[in-house]
Amino acid sequence: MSNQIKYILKRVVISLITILVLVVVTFLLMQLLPGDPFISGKALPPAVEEAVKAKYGLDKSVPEQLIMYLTNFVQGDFGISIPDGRAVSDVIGEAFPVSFDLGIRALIFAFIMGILLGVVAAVKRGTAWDSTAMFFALIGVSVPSFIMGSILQYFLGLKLMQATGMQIFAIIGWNGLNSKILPAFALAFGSMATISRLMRTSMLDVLSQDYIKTAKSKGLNQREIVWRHSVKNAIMPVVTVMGPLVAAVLTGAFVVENIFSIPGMGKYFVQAIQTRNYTMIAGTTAFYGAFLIFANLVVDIIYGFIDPRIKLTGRRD
Amino acid sequence: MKSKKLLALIVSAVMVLSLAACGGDKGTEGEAAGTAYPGTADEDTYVVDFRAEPPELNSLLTSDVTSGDVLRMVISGLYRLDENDQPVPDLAEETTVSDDGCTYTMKLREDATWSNGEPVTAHDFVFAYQTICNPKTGSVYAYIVYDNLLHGNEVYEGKMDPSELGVKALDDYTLEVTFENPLPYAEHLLSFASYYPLNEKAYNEIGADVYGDEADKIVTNGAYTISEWVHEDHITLTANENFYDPDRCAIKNVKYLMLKDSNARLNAFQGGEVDVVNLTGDQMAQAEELGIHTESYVDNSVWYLQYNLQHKETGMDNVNIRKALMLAVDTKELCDNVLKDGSVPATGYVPTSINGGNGELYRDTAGDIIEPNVEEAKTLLEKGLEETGLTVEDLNKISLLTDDTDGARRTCQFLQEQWKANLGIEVTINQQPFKNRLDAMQTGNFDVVLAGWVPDYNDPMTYLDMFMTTNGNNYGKYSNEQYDSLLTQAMKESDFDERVSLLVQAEQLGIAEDVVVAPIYFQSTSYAVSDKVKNMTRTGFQEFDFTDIRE
Repeated sequence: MSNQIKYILKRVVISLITILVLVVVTFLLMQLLPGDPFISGKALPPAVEEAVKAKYGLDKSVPEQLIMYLTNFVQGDFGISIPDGRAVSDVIGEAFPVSFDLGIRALIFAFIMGILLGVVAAVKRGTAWDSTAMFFALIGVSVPSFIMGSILQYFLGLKLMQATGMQIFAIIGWNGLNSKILPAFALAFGSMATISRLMRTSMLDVLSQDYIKTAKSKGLNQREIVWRHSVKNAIMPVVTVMGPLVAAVLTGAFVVENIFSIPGMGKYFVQAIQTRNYTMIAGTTAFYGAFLIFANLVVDIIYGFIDPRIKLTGRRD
Repeated sequence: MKSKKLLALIVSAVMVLSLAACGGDKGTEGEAAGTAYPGTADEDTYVVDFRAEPPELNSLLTSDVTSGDVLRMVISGLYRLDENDQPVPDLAEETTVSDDGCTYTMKLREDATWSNGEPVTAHDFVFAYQTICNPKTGSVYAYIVYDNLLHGNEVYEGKMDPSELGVKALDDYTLEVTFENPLPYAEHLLSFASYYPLNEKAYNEIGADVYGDEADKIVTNGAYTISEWVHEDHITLTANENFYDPDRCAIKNVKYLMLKDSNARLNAFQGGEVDVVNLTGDQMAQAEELGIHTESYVDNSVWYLQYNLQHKETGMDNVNIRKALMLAVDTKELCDNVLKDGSVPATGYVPTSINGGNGELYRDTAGDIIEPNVEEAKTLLEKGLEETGLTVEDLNKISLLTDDTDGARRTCQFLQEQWKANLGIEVTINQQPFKNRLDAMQTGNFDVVLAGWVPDYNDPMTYLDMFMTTNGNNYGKYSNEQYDSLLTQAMKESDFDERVSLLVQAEQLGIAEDVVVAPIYFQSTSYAVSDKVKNMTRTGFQEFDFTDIRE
């Protein structure tokens, strides 16, 4: 066990270094973007341009800016969003819980439905159950979330309301429960499809193993074989993809948040780059990077629980 | 067998669903004729789509339309705009203008208070103007104040003490503002956010860095107060009980939403979740079919082609080639069949909605100076090619720079088509993200660019001065002494009839004769509005306003 703790500590240290490198590279790359935060449809008089750049420290050389940014960064100060003047950490602190709320709903749905569909498809391989499950998976993989979102919004939001006279699902916003179902489903659909396809392949693999045949020949009942002996072994690939999936879904889904007008993090990733909001670009990238690294670490730890044969030592044979 | 039935069931369900999807539009069309859109449920609240978060509510720092929309409702300045965009007194009860037209002495109302209980005095204006003219404040719009006030430039450059600035509090309720030049649009300028008062005590207590960042981090004195602000979601304004003229509020609450997706907007409107949404050109026809009440207004933006006069290799330095490109475009067809949002063909550079400063609209004085004419365009092109020694092949190298939006692409494809059909020139379209496009313009890395201009104040000068030799917005590097001199004269002219005639001459010279740019269309904004909304103002200078009560 102490080996495991040592390994985790080592991973944390490496992670911190990775994040720092990520910030430095992002900071340097964004300087290559043409234009700056203050370039707009109207040219600024030179004196004004000088004054506003001085205000945000953009009058200094890039290495100076980088050192200044990093010094603040390690102290937990992500800087001021340009040009609205709000602290980047405040913006993330407000938007992230919303994205997290939406994402966790979507993930729970995607995980449960994905596993179920995958298992059913594998166990009932070649039957209509299989075809139906994989038909949904195919739709999920091929229909992008902005189409799924728009369809849900139009039919289940607007048309259902016009037909019934009741607002069963809200069309826009992020308030009551009735506003949270459609976006969560739109966001979940793609992940659900990925998970179910992975689960099916992996289950088929496991079901053809000798020990399953042995179990069958010893007369174990089907439910026991599937849920106790197969799923646990087949779930590993799914757990592996969950790391990046969780990070991507929880830190904000630009498209779905856009369609349903949800005040989450998604838009900042895109808008910060479009508006050359330097501090916001660096802040959101670092945040996403940290989250991704953390999610992968958690996945590695979970491996150990699902399959005790896996020891986290970082050593390879 | 059982599973086959299930499969059949699912397949038929999918088919029914897709049929429903196809038939959806037709179904609603039938119902539409008598359908009313009563609007949102709460009768004390209008829900209005703002489309974006107001980025900056500190009136010293703000420069964008959305923030201006909020500030106009929550701050009272010296003047305000009525429902026709004309300035009327707000806090300035009595104004006397000096004989030279530069000094405005204003007696202020004594019954106006800030939301922190302090009275609104002349000192609040002095503090605001001195602070915005301090480079340390870092205001991107500082020049709208220091370029106009007496000694503004000197104060901004630190050559004079802030107390020398053309703004004085003669007593607590008497303010004297002195401009560098006589301005026909002075009262309009005084209604603008950069000229709003600021309570010094509150500004220092809250802190300049965070002032206006949250609902509780701003002190207001206007018809409404900010009662709730959830960033990127909504901002709610509530009628101010302590306002000196409470009858001016059109409704108790205005809730501004920040919807990002145009389809979602129309869905939300139809679903009764919002009362006012902007519509795209394509949605206008759709809204009509659905029986939605729509309106449009010319919003003061002009879209034009800016030529880079430095690019000789593509003939951009030749006036006849520039003019040929301008006249070959059927702008009416563009507005009617491509844009479809109520935009109107540009008949000059200054839009139809702008004041002339002589008591009339500028366009009424100046008349139409551009009319598409394919035959003339062909003749001019031949003449231009002859003069420059270029061939059509050379002009095929013209690259048309534009934004990476859907609308810009369609407009440019139309231009491309027109030039090909009418002049035989095949230009290429170069779509760039907004900031990249601006960077290319600033660095002179373009032949022709489709650009838009939004005015700073209600006067032709804000459109025409951008082509003066030293102006930062003169990306095409146009330089004509006569043009510069006409505008310099106009700036100093105190006879406003004489002034407008100088401006008309300048527009004639720069646009119609020298074709420094080719105006394409005056942009309109179109929107859907529910039956519930009354007394809403939407004009070029007031995107949204609910403080004009009509009789």
